[in-house]
Amino acid sequence: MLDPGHFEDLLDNLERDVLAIDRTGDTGIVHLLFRTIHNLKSSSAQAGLSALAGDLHSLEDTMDRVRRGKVPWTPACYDQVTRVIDQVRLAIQSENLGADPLPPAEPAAVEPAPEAAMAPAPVPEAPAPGAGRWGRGFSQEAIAACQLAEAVGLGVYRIEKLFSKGLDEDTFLSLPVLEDIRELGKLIAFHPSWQAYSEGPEEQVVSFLFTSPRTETELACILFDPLLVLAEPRTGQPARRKERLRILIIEDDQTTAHLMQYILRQHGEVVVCATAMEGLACFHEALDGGDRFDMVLLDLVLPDLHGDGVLMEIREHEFRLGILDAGARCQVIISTANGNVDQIMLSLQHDPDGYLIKPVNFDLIIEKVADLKAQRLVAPEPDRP
Amino acid sequence: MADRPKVLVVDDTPFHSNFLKMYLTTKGYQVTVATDGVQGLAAAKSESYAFVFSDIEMPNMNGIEMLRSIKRLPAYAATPVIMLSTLDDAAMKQKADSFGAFHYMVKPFNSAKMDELFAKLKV
Repeated sequence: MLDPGHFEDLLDNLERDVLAIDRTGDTGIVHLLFRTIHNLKSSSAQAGLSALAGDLHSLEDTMDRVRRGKVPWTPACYDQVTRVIDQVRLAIQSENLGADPLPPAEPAAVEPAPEAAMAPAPVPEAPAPGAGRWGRGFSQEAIAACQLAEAVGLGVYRIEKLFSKGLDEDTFLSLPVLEDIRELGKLIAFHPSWQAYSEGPEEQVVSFLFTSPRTETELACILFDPLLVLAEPRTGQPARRKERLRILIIEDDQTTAHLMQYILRQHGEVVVCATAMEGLACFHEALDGGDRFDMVLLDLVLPDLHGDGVLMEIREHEFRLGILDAGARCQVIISTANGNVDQIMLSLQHDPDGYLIKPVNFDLIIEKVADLKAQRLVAPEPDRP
Repeated sequence: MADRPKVLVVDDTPFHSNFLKMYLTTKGYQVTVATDGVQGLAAAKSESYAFVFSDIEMPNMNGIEMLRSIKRLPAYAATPVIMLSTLDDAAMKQKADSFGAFHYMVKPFNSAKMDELFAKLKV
């Protein structure tokens, strides 16, 4: 099962890349290292070299933490990589000579570099030569956009993704990573440019710089590649830190809407929309602006679109933004007239948080609002009698 | 020969794609190999496959991104997509599940794992 040529190719790549990091300080190369170590690990496991695969797994874990910005690249990382290169060579020789599998490794060789892998960074990560806080190679304009975003409380993030050469421009620009970034926030720039990528080496790392009101946890629900947090968002705070509830009423019957508004405005900021499209626009604007609605009271029978469609759109939009937790998402309460109970049953498949049958029993809404205030506000205000 | 069901294998490591190709061919499948998610997605759009095997860590478009893109194609809504990884990680499995993966297989491959998979596939 062991193909020495395959292993030698991977080891050559590993040596080349670890020397390049040591020489240039460009930690972006760690993505290439990670990939090679990952391939070596899976090839070792497939070849039955389980002890070696275990050591490579430990090294892969260290490199994953470095590429995700959790720990810095230190001389210990360099030592760990070179030790493992020696181990792999030894293992290949043993296999080729028909000897017993990998002899017991010296303790120093199997120990992962603990200070790099496990402990917090002993010193702050020094930026690589030429690298700023936002990443290498970005224009002054892009950096100014990051600074502005941070000043207004948006999160600033960088994704570093490995590419192989050969994608055409249309394919490159429509990759899921770019679609996701546009969906979750705003792309500021990527480096190198497509032109430079297309003329560059066979394998290279492309950095995508973007802003988003979402937190790292929310983004990680959707994004897979290493995500570096350059500035924490202030607007994407957990719901618990809110000062007041925001409630959206989507209701075309003016009397009901006014009554709801009158009662609920004691408990938070209330916005009323008379049509589905107006309501959805308002919901999206609030969510994208980072000041999302906590509750939507949604009439099922609306003049332009059935409330069922509105509920589905709300849930899909939240899913795309990675808001999956029932405690964090918007609480949608559907309501309809007495004769439309069947419609409520149909709407249940889109996962509302409650339903009301008109004439509305306001005690039920007040109860729900009180629960939300207890869950989401900094210090719940006492309910008025 | 033309009736043999088609299977798509997406993996950037020839070592693994060769193994799968060999295994699936002996099982009577016609195998197409792609080396990243971009190629895999293009293949899925141009042909119809009985099921898809995909690695996760790949350049350009990783396996999770490809899984999401494939599952958005109406023709693949019910097609089993088997995700392959060396990482036995609960969070990663959950992510693959949430995007519609049929099965999450931890490498290295062996016949017991493949038998278990094919029992689950009921083919």
